[in-house]
Amino acid sequence: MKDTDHIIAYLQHRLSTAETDAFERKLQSDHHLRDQVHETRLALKAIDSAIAQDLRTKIRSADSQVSAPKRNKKSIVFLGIGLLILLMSAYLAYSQYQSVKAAGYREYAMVDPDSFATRGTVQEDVKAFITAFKLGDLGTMQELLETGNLAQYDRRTDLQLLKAQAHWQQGDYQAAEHIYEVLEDLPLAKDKAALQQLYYLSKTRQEEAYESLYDQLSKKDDYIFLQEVQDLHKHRSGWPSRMWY
Amino acid sequence: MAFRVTYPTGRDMTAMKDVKISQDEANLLAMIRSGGGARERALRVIMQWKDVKAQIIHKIITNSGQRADAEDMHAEAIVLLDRKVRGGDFAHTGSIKSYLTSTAYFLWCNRRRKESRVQYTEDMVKLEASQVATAPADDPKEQQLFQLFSQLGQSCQEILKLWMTGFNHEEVADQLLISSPEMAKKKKYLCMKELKSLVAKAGLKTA
Repeated sequence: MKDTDHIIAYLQHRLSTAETDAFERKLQSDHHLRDQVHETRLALKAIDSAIAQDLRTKIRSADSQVSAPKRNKKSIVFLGIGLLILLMSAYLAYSQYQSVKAAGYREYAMVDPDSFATRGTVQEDVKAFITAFKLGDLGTMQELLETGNLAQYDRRTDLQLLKAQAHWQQGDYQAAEHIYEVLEDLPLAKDKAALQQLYYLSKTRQEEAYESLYDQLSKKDDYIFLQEVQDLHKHRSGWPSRMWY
Repeated sequence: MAFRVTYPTGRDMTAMKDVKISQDEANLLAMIRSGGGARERALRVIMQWKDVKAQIIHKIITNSGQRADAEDMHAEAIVLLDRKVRGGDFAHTGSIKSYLTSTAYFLWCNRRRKESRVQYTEDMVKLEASQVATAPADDPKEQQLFQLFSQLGQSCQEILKLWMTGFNHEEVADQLLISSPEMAKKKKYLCMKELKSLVAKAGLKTA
């Protein structure tokens, strides 16, 4: 037992210099001791390997769930910027679409207000009516139509078409359609009402009704009127990049 | 196909030289050196250093490794630290944290080199001279010795491990419910004798 302890002390560098020197001198001449040292060294290494194995097991079972530092902060920022640009582009495209759509409603006018605003004695009332139309003030339009001046006005049907258009622009399609139906019976307003109704059908995408009315109007023997119908139909084909007007 | 890896931790290695060991770390080393329960407490603290583990995971994942590889290397670095300190071979004067990080990374490069014929860069060759070349778990001789040790009975294994990690005979007797320290000492001697005979039979040569 004593020999083994001495060998272990030698291998673990626990002997003094003098003891170490003496031990090493003995080693050179004693083969049996050399074998003992060799076996003890390997035995200590074997114990060490078992200690290492225990330590590995402890480390793995240690409750230290650590995650690697996040390195994707940059990509998140780039993704955010990309998303923002995409959203802004989508918003711009949508607002442009809306403005084109709104412009389409405003720009179309079967009746040119300026062409008759300066005629006759009812000039002031007509101007007021046009202003009301521009403001979308249907109450004032109705009131003016019922007054004496405009009640007798020879282009009253044009004003009624404007009123129908105002209804339409405000989304009251039923009221607009009612005016067209009434005006269809009047010879002077018939063509304009038909055209505006065609436009209305295209705008509201009532395709079947539109095709039927278009066929009917195309057969009319009036060059200027047919030009207008064709023009309207031509613009319709550009949907949705171009509005149906 | 042999391919070259660069050693990206030049900055860290410089830092390792500059950072002096703190008082806490010096205390931990002293605790490991003294062995027994103090060693176990010190190792428990070291294995729970989250910043060290995170750095090792980061380094190994960014160098073609997986999280499991990083965990292996983290464990091996601590095993080496423990072994070197206990054996009185720990000559590193810098921070233990940087020692663990660089050792784990080096062991990983070494494993990759063996598996995929990765060539050493200049920095890695310098590092090899100062540190152990192979992770203990990757050393076939160590595995063979562990197999021999496993042939011992359970109580023998426990006695030898406790003794080797610095527990005195009284503590060994307490922990393993042996009647007296003298009996523990005798049992240790017999176990050691058995292990030596196993080693002799296996005919292993010293490295």
